[in-house]
Amino acid sequence: MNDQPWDDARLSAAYRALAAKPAPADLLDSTLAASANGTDREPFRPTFLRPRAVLAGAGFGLALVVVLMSGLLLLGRSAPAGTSAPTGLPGTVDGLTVMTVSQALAAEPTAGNTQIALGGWYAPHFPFSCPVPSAMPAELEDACTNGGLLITENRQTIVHVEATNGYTQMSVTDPSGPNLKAYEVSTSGTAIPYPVHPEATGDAEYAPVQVILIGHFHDARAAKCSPEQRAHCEAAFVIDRLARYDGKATATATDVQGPYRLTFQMPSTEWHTTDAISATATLEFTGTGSVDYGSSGSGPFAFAFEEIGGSRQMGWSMTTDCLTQHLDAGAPISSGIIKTVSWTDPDPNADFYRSFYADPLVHLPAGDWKVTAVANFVEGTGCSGQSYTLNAPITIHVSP
Amino acid sequence: MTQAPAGSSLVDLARDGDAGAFEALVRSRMDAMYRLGLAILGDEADAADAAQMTFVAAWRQLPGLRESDRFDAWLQRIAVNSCRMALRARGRRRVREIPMTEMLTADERTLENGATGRRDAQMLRSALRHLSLDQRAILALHHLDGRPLTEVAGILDIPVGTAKSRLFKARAELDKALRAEGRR
Repeated sequence: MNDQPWDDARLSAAYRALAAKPAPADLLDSTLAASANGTDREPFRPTFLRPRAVLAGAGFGLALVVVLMSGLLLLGRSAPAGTSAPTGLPGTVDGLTVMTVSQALAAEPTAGNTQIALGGWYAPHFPFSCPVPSAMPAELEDACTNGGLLITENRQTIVHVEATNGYTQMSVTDPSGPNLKAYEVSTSGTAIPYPVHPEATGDAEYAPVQVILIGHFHDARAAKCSPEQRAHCEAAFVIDRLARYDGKATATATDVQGPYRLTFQMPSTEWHTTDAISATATLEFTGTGSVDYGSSGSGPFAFAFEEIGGSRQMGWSMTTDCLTQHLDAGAPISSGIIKTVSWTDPDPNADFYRSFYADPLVHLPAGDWKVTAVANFVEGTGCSGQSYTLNAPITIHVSP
Repeated sequence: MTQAPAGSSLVDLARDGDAGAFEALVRSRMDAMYRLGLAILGDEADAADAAQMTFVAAWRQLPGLRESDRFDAWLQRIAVNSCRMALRARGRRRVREIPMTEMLTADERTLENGATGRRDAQMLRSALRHLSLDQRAILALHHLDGRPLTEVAGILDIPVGTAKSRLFKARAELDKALRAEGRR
């Protein structure tokens, strides 16, 4: 018996042992036969699947549900330096003056928790592996598992990539100019997209992306920090939402019913047919304490897609199992897009619905689409209390 | 350290229908996808199904991949979804196979920690049965190859704060399950 604690090292070693096997010899051939048989990329053909997967596919019904998971770390802050206005960015966003990093740092001591629009350059910066701490650090504490986006005032290279013996090694250069960490917390809106990875293109750095973040200092979460970290937490810039990413505007819709708020955010309202569309829905309990609620076993979120001026509609649906969960005030839950599709044959759009379902990502045909986030749940235990259905729609345009 | 992807030209060629380029991508990533499946599902047959579904879906969906330099993160996201589908398919099977992970193999005898590593792997595999697919996925993505949480969040397309919270809760559930396994 191994009496050693299950720390990070032991767990990682166990994972490596669990997965220390190459793929079966015949898997490569069967996979290539299944996927590369012809270049027409016809819809999934189960006859090419391995026998056991065919059995699995036999249960494929009219009501289809597939869940798609459809979202950096730490540096210090420098002393304020330059105060020039952000270049290449609008002067205001949503009525807020866009500040440089220097300006935001200068404003912090007297800003309270009022919202600030911060413009700057963002590039990932992270330690390569860190153990999960034995206790959950407060959200704004300086801990290696806490998310913090490095925002620099000037465009500069932070992460360098070097390929050696088939692997890549990353190294980090500390920023030279004004910078701060912006914290993406559980209540932050639109997931900040992960920057383009430089390895494949042969670039030697992560290309910084210009962003505008709406956020605030002196967040209430600072009260949960340890005394040693209280000052750090008070001065942390907490992201409320992403307003611009690489020049693109984001979109937000909300629905409030009773003590519940559903917020639906998309990185953009302009997409292309080749884009993998992403979005984040967040459900928040605005009361005090916590509340029990019952919902589908897969969670309270669903999403609907409606072609404006067209006939294609992918409505939302859920499994009817009732799973009781808790929602705590100040601890919202969020979800990426979950696709649900149902239809009754014969339906002229059946082929499209099958294709939409089979796509592991979310792609939409050209046109205008209403995308709606739904939160459906019943207060209390056993799904016997008051039912809520919150809807937050966003209209997007998809270009060829 | 992360796996080095092939050059973007290979991805671009595969996206344009070059079966040879796609075969090269499959060859270079099959073991990694299979191992990820094993770490999430704990079952060799399921992992093989998931790996195959991953590449079949990738081949079909490659034309929609606009940013070829995101290929690996995109592929891993597909892999997590394929694991989800493989797990659902498991319930429909009539016959269960005895996983090779429950047998001592020559490879395992040479593991760094020898029998201890095998025993830990078996405990981990048993404990993972008590976790949801999402919990298994985030733990595997973080611990199997030591991916930073930021990268995991990028693969799962969720905010880092959400990934952090999910990882913490998953780790707590896993610790509880491992303690229960240890008492057996």
